[in-house]
Amino acid sequence: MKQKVDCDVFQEQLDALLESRLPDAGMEQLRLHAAACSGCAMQLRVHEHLTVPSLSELESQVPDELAGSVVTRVQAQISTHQGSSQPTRSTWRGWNRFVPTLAAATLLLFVGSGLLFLQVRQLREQEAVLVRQVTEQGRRLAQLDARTTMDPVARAASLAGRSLWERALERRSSVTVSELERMLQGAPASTTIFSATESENLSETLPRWMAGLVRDALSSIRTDDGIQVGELLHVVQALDIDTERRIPTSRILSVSRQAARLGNS
Amino acid sequence: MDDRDITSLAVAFQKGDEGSFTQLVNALTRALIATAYRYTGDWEWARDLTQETWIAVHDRIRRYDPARSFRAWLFSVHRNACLSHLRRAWVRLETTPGDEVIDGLPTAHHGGNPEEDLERREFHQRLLSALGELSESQRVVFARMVLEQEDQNTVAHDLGIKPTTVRTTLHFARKRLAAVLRQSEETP
Repeated sequence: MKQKVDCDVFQEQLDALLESRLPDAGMEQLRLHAAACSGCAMQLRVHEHLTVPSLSELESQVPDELAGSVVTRVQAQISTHQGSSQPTRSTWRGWNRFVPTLAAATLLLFVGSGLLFLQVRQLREQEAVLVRQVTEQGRRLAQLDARTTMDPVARAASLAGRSLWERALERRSSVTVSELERMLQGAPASTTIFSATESENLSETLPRWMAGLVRDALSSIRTDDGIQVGELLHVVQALDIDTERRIPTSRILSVSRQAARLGNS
Repeated sequence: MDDRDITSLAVAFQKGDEGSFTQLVNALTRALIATAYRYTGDWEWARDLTQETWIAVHDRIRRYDPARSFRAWLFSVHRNACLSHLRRAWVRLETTPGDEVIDGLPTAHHGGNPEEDLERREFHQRLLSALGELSESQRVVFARMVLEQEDQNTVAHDLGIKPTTVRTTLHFARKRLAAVLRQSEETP
């Protein structure tokens, strides 16, 4: 019982420390308790790890060249953005109840990539490592100049990845949302599935009303460096799709292949 | 530059003055990097997230309500980017301490001792993983209160909950984090 009271007091003292209003005597008491209680000791360690130095001190430690490079990169990226047309976003609100099977299939197109990478990891682990390294390099290149020079490395990785997951899908007649989500969670999230150009072209493969829907669904992520598995998981989780919905794989494959043709043309 | 000046620049940018945007970037980038460093423990990630935030702000400036503090809005955009970063499992799985260090850049916190620095980085990685074990509300409260050192009443107001609820949630988050970290120490 005594320990419980001490731990509660410790919490209050840690709050006071967070707000810089803990007197020296309180600090001493805090450390005494931490020395005898491993749970509270870990809390104190986390607190000190994250709050020392203070934000203002940390701000003064930011290297000049780092801050300068952000300014340069942002200006360069904005110049590139302004050189290309921005897609018009339609209203997402109100469309939820009209989401048809095909819209879900389109989103699952991305999710389905998890199938591929699970199998690749199991069967050809070495190959998966190489693809991940290549894709990471592609991501960095894409950040420098995403639109004007489509990096061939990321493009090659995404084409190879899509080809493999299409083969995986061909073995099944249909899949559910939850099945694909689980597979996606097990896949390397940084792997690029679609290059930036292919991401843009994807919406052109859909009926006009659905293209806006998909663009809205993707608007919460950056697509100018392509679309990665982790981003797709984020998009899918942001949508309220029935996890037991079963999607014919033929529909997913149809959209995927058409997007790839447009991306290559 | 105080909050009022910053908001004035934001309003000018919203009306199309790109020069004001550049001034905002120059004025606030360091603060954003410092905050992102708290989340990531890594300068390069902090830089990338800050860049991502500025691009998002540039794209979405029409959504900014001039009646609000621009700084508050900016940091809310930044927070979303940082929390998304935490959610990405690959950060926890694929980033090895030391991999992301920029050549020649100093690392905050350490006193020049490579072993201490490595230990800090390893602890930070375990801490990032442990944050993934919190509920979304615990993670947001912990991030705002501890990482961003925000005032309890501000957090409560923004989240639409009582200040006492913020405090209780923070306590639960701390205890959960400590439990997960201790468990990870016992099972390396």
